[in-house]
Amino acid sequence: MKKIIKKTIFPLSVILLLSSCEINDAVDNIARIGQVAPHVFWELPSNSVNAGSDVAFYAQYYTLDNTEIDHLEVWYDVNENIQTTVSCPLVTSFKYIISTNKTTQIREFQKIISYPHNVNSWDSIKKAYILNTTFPTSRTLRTVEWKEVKTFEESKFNSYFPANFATQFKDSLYKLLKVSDFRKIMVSLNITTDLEFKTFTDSTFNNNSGAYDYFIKTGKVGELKTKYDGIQFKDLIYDQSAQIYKVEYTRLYKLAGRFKAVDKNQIVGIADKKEIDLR
Amino acid sequence: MKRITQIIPALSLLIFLLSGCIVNEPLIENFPNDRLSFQYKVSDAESYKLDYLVGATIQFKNYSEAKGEATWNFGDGSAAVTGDSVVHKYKVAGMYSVKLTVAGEEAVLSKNILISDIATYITIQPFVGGICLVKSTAVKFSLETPNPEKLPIVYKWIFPAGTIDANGNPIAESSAVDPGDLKFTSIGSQKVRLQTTLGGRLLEESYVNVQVGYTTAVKTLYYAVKGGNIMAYKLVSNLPADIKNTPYDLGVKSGQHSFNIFFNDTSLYVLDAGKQFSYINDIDGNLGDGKISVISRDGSKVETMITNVGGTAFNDPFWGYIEPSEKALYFSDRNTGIAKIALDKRNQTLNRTEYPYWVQNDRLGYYNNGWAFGSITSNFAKVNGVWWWGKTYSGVGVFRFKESDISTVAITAGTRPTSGVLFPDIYIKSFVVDVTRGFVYFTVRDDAVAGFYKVSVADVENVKTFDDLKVAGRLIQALAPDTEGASGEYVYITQLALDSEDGSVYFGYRTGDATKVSSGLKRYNPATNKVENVIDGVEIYGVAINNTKSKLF
Repeated sequence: MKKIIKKTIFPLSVILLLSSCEINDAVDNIARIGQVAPHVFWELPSNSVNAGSDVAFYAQYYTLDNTEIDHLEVWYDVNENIQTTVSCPLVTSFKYIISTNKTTQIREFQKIISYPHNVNSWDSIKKAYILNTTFPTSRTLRTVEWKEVKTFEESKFNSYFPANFATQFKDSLYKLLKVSDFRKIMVSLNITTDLEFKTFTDSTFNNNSGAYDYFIKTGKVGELKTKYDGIQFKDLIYDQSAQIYKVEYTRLYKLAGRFKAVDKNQIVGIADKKEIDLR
Repeated sequence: MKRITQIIPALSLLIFLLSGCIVNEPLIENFPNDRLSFQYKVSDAESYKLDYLVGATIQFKNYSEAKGEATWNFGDGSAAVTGDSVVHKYKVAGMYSVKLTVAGEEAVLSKNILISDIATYITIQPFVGGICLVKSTAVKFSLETPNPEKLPIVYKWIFPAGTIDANGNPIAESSAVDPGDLKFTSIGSQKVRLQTTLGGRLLEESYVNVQVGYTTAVKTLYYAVKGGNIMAYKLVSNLPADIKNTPYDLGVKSGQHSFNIFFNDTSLYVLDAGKQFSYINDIDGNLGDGKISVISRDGSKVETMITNVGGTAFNDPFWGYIEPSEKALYFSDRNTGIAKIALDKRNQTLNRTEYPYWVQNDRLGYYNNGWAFGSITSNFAKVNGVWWWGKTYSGVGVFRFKESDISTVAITAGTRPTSGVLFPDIYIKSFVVDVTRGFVYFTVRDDAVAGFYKVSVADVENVKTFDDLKVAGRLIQALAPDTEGASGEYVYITQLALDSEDGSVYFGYRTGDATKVSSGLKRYNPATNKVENVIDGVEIYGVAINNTKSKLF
C-alpha cells in the first residue's frame, strides 16, 4: 500500500505542478465576473433649476483595489414632456375634455462634462474622494406654458397643437352633443335665438320616464350641422364666465443624469439616476 | 532518489497553492457594440454645445458593429449622406428623427434630436452691494447671442414702467446694444424684455427678471398662484409715493393645488395636494401626485421633502402646520388623519410605515360622536397647546383636542375631548388665531353666510349658528366665492396668514362674482377693521409670511 502511494504521488505532483499555471478559477469557468468598478455615490441639493443654470452636486467615490481613478463624468439625456388640455365649457350634459400627456426623449444619453480626478480630495473620515461641483444645462430648455389664455393667438395654437386638432375636436364633439348642448352652443354664441332653435327640435313623450324626449328634426340636421361647422374653434372653447379660453399647453424638460467614475483601466463605476427638472 | 520523490511533490504542492489562485484576474473584455449604433454632438463651439442650435454644426458618428456603408437621413428633408462620420446643420428649430442605415442590414436606427432656435441671453452684471435696491442701484446688462453663421443682429429693449436711465429720465425702449446704467422705481420683479432680429428674422423674445429690493428691511409675504408660480411680496407700510410695490416671481411652479404654504427659518414649505383633490374612486391606489417641496426664500433652490406620486390620491399632502419647537411639519391627507415629518427630511416617499398617522379620525373621541369615517379635513393648527382641527364634511366645525386625547387604538364611538368643538355645523375652511390680541379670524364657506369673520377668543365659543355669525362686528367682509372643488370640499380660502407684529391677516380669494368682490391677495387691516386689496385679479391658494425682515428676500 505504501508503495502504491509512493508510486502515485510523484506523477500526481507533476500533474499538479504543470496544471497550476492554468486558469483554474472554477467561477471563471462558468461566469464572467468582470472587473471591480469604482464605487460611486452622488446627491443633488436641488432637483429643479432654471434652464441654463448649473446643477450643483456632491459625489463620493473610491476603488476597492489599488486601481487609480482617472477622471469623472456626468452624463444625461433630455426628456420633453408636453401636456395639453382643451375643453368645451359650453356643453352641459357631459364634460368634453381632450387631454394629452406625452414624454419623449429628445436628446440622447451623452457625456456632458468631465472632471479631473483630484488625489487631494480624499476624505479620510468618509474614506472616499469627494467632488463638490456643478454640471451645466442648456439655456434653450426653458419651460413653455400657455394657460389662462385671455387672448387666443392663432399662431401660438398652431405651433403647439397638431394641424388637424381643431377639426378633430369639433367633429368628435359634434357626435356627442345632445339637444340641450346644441341649444346652449347656438344660443350662447348668438348663432340662433332660443326661439329659432326650437324650430330645429321636436319631442316625443317617453312613457317610461314620464317626460318629453327632445331630438333634432330629421329635416333640420343638415342645416344645424352647417351652422355648427360655421362656428370657430376658439369660440367653442371660450369660457364666458371666466373670460378665458379653455386651452392649456405646457412643455417642460427633465434631465436624467448619471455620475460616472472612470479608473485607469477604463472601468466605469456608475451612480444612480437623478432626475432634474428644468424650469 | 527517495528524497527527490518526496521533495518534488511537496514543492509542487506549494507552488500550486501559491500560484493556483493567482491567474484568475478576468480580462477586460471588449464587448461588441450594437449592430447599429451612433452618437451625435455639437462640434463647432464649446459655448453652445448643449444647446443644439439652428445653424450649429452637429457631428454624427457611426459606432455600429455592422460593417457596411453608413447612410444618414437627418429628418429635415435634406438629401441623405453617407460616411461613418458626417456633419449636418439644421435650418429650422424643431424635433427631428435621425435615421442610420448600414448596407447589408435590414434594421434602421432612429434617434430624436431637438434643435432649438437661437435666443439672446441677458445677464445682469453683479450689483454693487450684492442686491438691487429700488431707485438707488444701477443695473447693467450684458448680452450673448450665439451666432453660428455670423448673421447681422439688431436689438430692441423693452423696459417695465418705472425704469429710469443714467440721466434719471424714464426709459421705455432702447435699440442700443448696451442701454447703460438703469434704475427701477418699483420693488419686485422687473421684467426687462429684449427682441432680437438675427439675419432679418425675429427671434423669440428674451427677458430677465431684475429682483428689486426695498431700501428698508421689511417682512416678505409668499403666495401660491393657481396655475402659476410661487410669488413674493414685500410688506411695506408707508410706501413713498414715488415707489411702486409689485410682486416677485420666484420662477418656481406653485404646483397643482398648493393649499398651504409655510415659511420657517430660511425656507418655504409648499404642500401640493396634486391634481385630484376631491373624491375619486382610486381603486388601484395609484393616483396620488402630491408632494411637499422646500423652496429657498429666493426661489433658487427647490427640494422635494416627501412625495406621494404613485401613491393613493387621498394621501396627498393637503393641509399642514409647522411646530418650530419640534422642528416638525404636521401634514394631513384629505380625510383620514395627520402625520408628521422632520423639517430637515428630503427626498422621502410617503408610506405609512415610515410616516404613520399621528392622529386619525377614529383615534379621537369625536369619532361617531361629532364626525364620522372619512370626515374631510380643512386647516388645522395648534393654539396654546390645544390642537384645532377643521372639518368640512361628515362632521363640520373646528374640533379641538390635546395630544393626550389621542387613543392608541381605533374607537368605534368615543367620548368627546373636553376641549370641545368650535363653530359646530359651520363650514369653516380656514382660520388663524391672533393670540397676542385675542382674536380668531375665520372664513365661512356656507353660501348664505360666506365671508371673512373675526371674533374675540373670549367670544369664540358663542358662535354656533348662522345667526351667531350675524351678530354685529363679526362679519368683516361678505364673499361670493368660486365653486372649485365639490360640496363638502370647496377649495375656497385655503389659508390665512397672520402678521403677528401689526395684526394684519392676509389671504388669497378667488371670486365667483367679480362684481361683488374681485379675486386677489387680500389683507384684513386691523387699523380700519376692513378687508382691502393688496394685489387685485390674481388667483391664490396658500399664503405665508417670512417674519425675518430683509431688503430683498
